[in-house]
Amino acid sequence: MGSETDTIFALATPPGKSAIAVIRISGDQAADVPGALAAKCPEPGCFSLQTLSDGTGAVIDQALLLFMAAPRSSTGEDVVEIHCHGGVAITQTLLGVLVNLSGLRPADAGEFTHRMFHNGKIDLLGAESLADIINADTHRQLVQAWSQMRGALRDPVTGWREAVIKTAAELEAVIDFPDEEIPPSVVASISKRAETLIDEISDCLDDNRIGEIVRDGVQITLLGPVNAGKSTLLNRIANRPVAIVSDEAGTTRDLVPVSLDIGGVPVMLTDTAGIRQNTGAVEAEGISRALSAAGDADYTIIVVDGSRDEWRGDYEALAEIAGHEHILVVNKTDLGIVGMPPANALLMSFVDDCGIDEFLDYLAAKVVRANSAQTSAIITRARHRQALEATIRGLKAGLVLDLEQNPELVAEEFRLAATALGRITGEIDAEDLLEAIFSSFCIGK
Amino acid sequence: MSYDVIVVGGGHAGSEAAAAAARMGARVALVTMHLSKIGEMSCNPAIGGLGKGHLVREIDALDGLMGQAIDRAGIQFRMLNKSRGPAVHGPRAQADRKLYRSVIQALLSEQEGISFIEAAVGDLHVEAGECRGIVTEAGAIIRGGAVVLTTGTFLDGLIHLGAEKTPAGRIGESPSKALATRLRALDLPVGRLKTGTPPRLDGRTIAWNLLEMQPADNPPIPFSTLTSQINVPQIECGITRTTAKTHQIIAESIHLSPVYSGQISGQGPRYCPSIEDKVHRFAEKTSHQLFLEPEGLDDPTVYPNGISTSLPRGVQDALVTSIPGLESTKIMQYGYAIEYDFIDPRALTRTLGLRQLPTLFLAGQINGTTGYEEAAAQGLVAGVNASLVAAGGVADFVLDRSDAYIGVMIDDLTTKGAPEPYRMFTSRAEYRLLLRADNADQRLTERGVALGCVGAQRIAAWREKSSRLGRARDQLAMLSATPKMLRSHDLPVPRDGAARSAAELLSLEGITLSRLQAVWPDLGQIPAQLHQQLEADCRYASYVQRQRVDIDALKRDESMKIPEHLDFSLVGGLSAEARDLLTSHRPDTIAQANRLPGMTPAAVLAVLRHLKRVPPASPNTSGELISQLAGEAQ
Repeated sequence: MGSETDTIFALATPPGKSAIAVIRISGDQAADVPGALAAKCPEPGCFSLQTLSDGTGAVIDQALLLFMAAPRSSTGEDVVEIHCHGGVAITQTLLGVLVNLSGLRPADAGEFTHRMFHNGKIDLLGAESLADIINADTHRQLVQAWSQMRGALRDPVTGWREAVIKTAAELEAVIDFPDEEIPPSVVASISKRAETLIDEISDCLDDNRIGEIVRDGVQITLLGPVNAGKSTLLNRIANRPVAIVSDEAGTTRDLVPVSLDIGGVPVMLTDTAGIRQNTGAVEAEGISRALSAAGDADYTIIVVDGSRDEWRGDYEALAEIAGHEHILVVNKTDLGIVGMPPANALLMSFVDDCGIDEFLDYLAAKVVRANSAQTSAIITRARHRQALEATIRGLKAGLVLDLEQNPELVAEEFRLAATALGRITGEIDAEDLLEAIFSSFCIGK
Repeated sequence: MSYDVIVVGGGHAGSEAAAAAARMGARVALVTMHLSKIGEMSCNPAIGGLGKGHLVREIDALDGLMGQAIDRAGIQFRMLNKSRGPAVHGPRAQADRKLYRSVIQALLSEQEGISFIEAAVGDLHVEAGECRGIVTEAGAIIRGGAVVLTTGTFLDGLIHLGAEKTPAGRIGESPSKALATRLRALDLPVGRLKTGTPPRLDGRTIAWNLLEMQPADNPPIPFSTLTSQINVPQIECGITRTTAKTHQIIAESIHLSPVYSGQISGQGPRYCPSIEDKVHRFAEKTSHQLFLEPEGLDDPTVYPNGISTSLPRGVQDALVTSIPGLESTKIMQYGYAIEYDFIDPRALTRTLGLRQLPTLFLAGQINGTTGYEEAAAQGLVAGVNASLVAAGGVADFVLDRSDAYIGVMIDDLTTKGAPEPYRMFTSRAEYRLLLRADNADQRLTERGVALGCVGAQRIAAWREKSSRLGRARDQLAMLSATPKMLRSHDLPVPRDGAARSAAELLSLEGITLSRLQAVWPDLGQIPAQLHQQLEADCRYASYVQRQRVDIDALKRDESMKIPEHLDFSLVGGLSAEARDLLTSHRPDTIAQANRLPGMTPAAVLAVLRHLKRVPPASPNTSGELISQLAGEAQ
């Protein structure tokens, strides 16, 4: 990582040919860059059309330049953007000129965001949201990321933290001013308020992790004996409009992952080698990878050929391997199923084209739990959840203690609760407590 | 004549500063306007309380005067919050004002190495850019290696009583005008604060028989570990309340108050409001409690705690006589408000030395604090550091927030300044369960011994106590018993079959050392005066253990010093605001930078990286997260 006083630049659009490309420059020397390209820096907040040339006077491109003066820019520093034509030679030549200017260097990964944060343009939640906005693959992820950016979690956390501080402040008043007339009702209200907070935060935690699921996606592995119909199922799912295939990640030799968007949740569905005994070394390796993929997945779909006598034994063996939550698909109903399938089995036939829509509905319900589809999730990362859980632990530990006899221990637990909330948004400070004390009570004999 | 340390002022800060410097072996001159006023209690005749009592115990642990003085002058000892946990016990005592003064004067004159000089100080003697003494108003130069200024409310003090304004440091005493002018000329950040005092009442005209009385604790618990028992007779205080009539009188004359008429601009303390403030700001409260505190055993003066006021004399007469029990009470001295100069303590390092003039130390109200205890604690720190520089060494006696309330206070002052007069509260201490009044000696005395500010008598007493504590702790850790056995002695332990050590048992509610003697008679050897300390240590052990992680992190950050002349404009990744903040406050360490109001974790991280010159480190959670995010966001 270079010095943080350097002026940094980077191609802000993907490399390759395009109608336009944008190069972004941020730092003290940004405004000097147009001069180095024989152009003039526009007025702050203005675009201007300029011809850019290299040191020999040869024209590189005609481009729109935008200048944003510090602190009113995305990074809080002087920012210049060059909107040029998106040709490979143009961008390469421009970047080549920039890299040779003294005090300028290519930006490291994430460095623009870093500077936004350093300069107070965004807070921690904002930085997280920005990353989520850029990385959103599905509409639902985008909606969630923007709602996070606009305070979905920041607002309630700020409110809860204020409430914890107010509660703690009342407790501190009881401790620090024993000769003052603190009304007894205050002590009673402390427990009540802490209980209310526990309820509210618990409600928020009780979200089936939908926010994290939407953000992180779900891993599903198809597992089954050879010729059970796994690959056919994968292709059929991928070709249904309900499951949009957004892109195909690298096909490994024997694990075939497909990215899907099911109800706005990104799903990585992985097809695996069929499981069977007594195979060659290569196939055995494929099987071992299949089993390991099943172990890493959130869900495993076990597909068996219901027309075979051994299907039940296959299923039981695979269910043991899948271990955690799995879905059983009994395929080839058109050939007749041997014996009675278990109640949780999904029956399917590609020949009769039956059971596939039911399967997709079932899958969607699994991925996006029915009761949480409508509620807007505000916890999108494990870090948020851990902090809120620590808050509840602190509040609960405080409530178990005797407020009259050990207010100092209750206060200590509440302090932990407030600190945990502060880790999401900011810091707790003794002055916050004192301010809350003095605005609520008449202190001073 | 030349001295090592010159202390200007003989209040609580000045007395401790002079005594501490002298204990360190310095030749000290204590210069004050009236030698007879050394140790005077200008306002309420009481020492201690929540947070303040902790400070007194810490002063005592470093062999200061205040604890011993109040033990010999206290006429009503009360342990506040006695029914609550030991971390929030607040020792407090009312003093016989005259007696307190004379004890302080006696302790100072017993201390070797202090010369007393009666003079008004008009100027600092600055040689080659360093403060090397003082100049009296009469023009005499007194030279010294370091100077401690403890001017109290005297720096350009102005008393307000109704519309009357009188330049004074205390009622009837001239202010320090010349010195104030001089300090302003030095381009120090000077501000104005105000405080107030209630009228003093003639106790012979109070109907005591009509009042609820509050007795002293029996037996009284001393402040100093050197005091074995309190021998001063104990008195009761009266309690009464303001009435609807009182409030009406105040409401009708509030425009005559110098604060409300706009005559006073200095900021007063929120926690010690005048009665007119209370009536005005908390209009819904129809009555306020007040304590009638006798100022001495043979003194008729009574201090009505709770009705500080600067309303005109006639209004004070009317408001006092509207209070039950005071119907025919005479005022001996009217209440007043006083405005005075203070120096923004952010100009100081945590040694209490001025950054601009490192041989000049400030302590007490000049730093924006209020209260005798706050002043005395600063005096002690300033006196020790002044003696260190005067001896040609480095002033490096700094206590941090996990060491002592003194550390919390000085850190608050030097990082946040004093937007209002600063008073100690236990809620300011994040490590409250560790920083208890009962363990001040365990926390600080050994440190004081190493420093050289603890006398032989206390060293002997402390070493004796310390080894007894050590033995007792070993004993408590070694003895253990099963729930079955403990229950046979009626001890309330959970029936979980787990054997517990005596130390673990003491962390349970309702178990005390004396109850454990039923199980282990050997514990009877532990002296009773150690019980509370041992019990508290065990009670809070698990909490303190939990805080240890934070404290270790704090100590680590405190050990990362920011060079005194670091040019923050060279630190990359700092916003303009953060750069200005750091440049104007100049934090000593990363920990202190972290606590500056308005400082962002990102800015602290930037400074840290600059200091370490390493790629993105992860000193705190935010830093780690941001680095990680940066990777994600590309």
